[in-house]
Amino acid sequence: MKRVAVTGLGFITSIGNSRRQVVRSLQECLTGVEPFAEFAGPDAPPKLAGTVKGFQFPTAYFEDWQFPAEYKLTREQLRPMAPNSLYAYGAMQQAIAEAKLTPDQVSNPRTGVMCASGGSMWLAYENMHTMITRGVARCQPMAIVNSIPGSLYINLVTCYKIKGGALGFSSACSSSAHALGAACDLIRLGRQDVVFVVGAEDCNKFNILPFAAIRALSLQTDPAKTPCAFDVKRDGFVGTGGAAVLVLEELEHAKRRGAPVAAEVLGWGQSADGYNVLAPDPDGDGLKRAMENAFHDAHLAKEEVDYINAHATSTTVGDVSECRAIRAVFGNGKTPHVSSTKSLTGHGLSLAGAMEAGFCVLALQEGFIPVSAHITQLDPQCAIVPIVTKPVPDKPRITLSNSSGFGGTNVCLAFRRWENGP
Amino acid sequence: MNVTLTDKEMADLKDGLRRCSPETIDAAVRYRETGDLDTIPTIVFGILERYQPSTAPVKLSQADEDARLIEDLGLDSLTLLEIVLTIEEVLKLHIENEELREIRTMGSLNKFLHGKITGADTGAPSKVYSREEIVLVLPQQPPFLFLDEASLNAETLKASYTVKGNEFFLEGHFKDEPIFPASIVFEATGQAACLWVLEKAPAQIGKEIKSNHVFFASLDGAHFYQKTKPGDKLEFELKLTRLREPLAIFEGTVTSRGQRVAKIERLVLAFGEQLLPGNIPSSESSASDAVAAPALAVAPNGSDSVRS
Repeated sequence: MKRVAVTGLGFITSIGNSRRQVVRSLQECLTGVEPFAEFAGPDAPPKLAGTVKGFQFPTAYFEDWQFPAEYKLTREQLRPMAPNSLYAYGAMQQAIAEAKLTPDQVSNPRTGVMCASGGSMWLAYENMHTMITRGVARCQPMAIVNSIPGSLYINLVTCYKIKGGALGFSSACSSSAHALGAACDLIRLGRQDVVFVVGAEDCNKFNILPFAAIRALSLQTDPAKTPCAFDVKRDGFVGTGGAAVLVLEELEHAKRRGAPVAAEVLGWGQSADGYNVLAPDPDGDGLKRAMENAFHDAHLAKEEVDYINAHATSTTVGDVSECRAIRAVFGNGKTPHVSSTKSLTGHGLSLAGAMEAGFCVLALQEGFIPVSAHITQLDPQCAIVPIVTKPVPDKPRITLSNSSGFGGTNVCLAFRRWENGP
Repeated sequence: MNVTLTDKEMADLKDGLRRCSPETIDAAVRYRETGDLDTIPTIVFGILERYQPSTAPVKLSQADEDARLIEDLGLDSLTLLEIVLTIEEVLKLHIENEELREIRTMGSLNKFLHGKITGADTGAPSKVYSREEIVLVLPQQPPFLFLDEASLNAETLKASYTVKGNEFFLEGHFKDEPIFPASIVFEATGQAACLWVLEKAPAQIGKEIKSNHVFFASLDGAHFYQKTKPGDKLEFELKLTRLREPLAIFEGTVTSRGQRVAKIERLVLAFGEQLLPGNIPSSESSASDAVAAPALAVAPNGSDSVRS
């Protein structure tokens, strides 16, 4: 079976809009969370978000949007977009540059794109509001393509002239981890040489505030204290948006063209809890099976794992369930370092899987283990696994990225440091 | 036509013309308030200017009547759609897809809109409505819809209806002898006129008309010559004799197999939001009569209750 390399990364995230900024934020524990203007009013219970810097969306009209000058889009390209597509366009531009892919290699029948986004609830609302209040004939011509979850691949395929497989994944907060798994399989089966994995989400009240109704959002107002996955004081997640792109490439293809290999994707596993629409299985049985499936798929001995980037969103039940899953997988043996980078970024929903997979690659490449931020008192129920509360000197060789979504869907991705072989 | 836009209409108009020049907005307000046709080129220019990409080969300010919208002005099909939607919203008219195909240059766009608004020949063939399309426009619905097909022009219309034999009232009209009632023939004529008012009048008066805001007002000089029965095809021909808000006045004939079935000297429909109960200007007693009898089924009315 063919092997899969990561040859490029791109980030538009709350903790940085470039690889350099993201590495610095992860190494120095710099939070991307801050008070969010959209939540300033008394009707919004949470007050914080992992804001995306350098982008402004004052109205639903794309002509009013502001974004960094290095991303050059024509009116025709921007018109069918929502914020999630615009973020993804930027992250993809970075990833292409990093992977040193030529326009011919990007626009090629052997190059595909696997996308994940929940769609733009904001533009869906605006479009439907226009249709209902001003009439069907006044509905925005772009009303469907700029708002549905498929909006992401629709726009990226058009902007980057993608010719290979293109589709979207919809499994809530594990969506872009599923997209990465699918991309990995496409390459291993020889169906594509290069696949862009894209996770992206809007960052506004429409896709974050509905989570307040299930009391899943942190009400803490001090960004120095929340999110605090695994801490006794954790009170929910903080929403974020942005985009992350990974270039997955068949290893020999990457070697032939002298591409910079950042890491290897060893394999992945998935599962479902079969338990509840919202709550995770309290024992973490589903996530445990996803991790075991990943080990099997990656031909990996669990003792080899050095670091797990946990899904841990900083909710009371979710974090404990995941710690139990990890404990059950590793038993009494050596257990890897565990941290939640969501404590710095906020929870990016469909973006989370790809973003954290990117962080795992950075950890391997730059030789560091991200700290789980904002922990002052570890929850004893979480202390059953080695949570990274302070910097550790280890340089990881194997990392895992866990993701779980509503409905109890679980994904575990496995990466290896690239050491020029074997 | 002299009206003053409400605050909401003004806000909607400005929202529709966001990013257009102040001159464009002024012209649009003048058009909507006075119907001044001279404003159209300014409005069209302003809307095109707002959507024209900076990369276009020909700048709008240098474009003449022959400038092609796509090749010269650099507008792609989706941008044209945005432009059409904006024009429709600002000028309060509806442009059919078939009509769009004929519009390729600046000149043809201006001429088309001018014709569309004044009712002059736009060069486009009159549209034929199937029964399925009529159902989507008219408030009258089966089993009380007596039109199978209609074609509308600027000031005339033709429509037809074939008596099916299974119309619910034929069982009692009459016992053992199904005859299509004269009153229903007049009703069908009224439905055809209603279709014209809903489809053609908005562009001519520069205002939307909702389907439940059209009312039968009066019927004068209605003559019936010949009974019709199942299998007969009724053909309606109407001519608009006057259109001024809130009234549309028609004259018309009904024939079947070339034989005269009915003649109507004056059929009056009243339309508009101001006719709704509780919304009647006290000075317009004639309109209030129309509301007092909003029966959609035609009951021939000898007295001329509505005077325009």
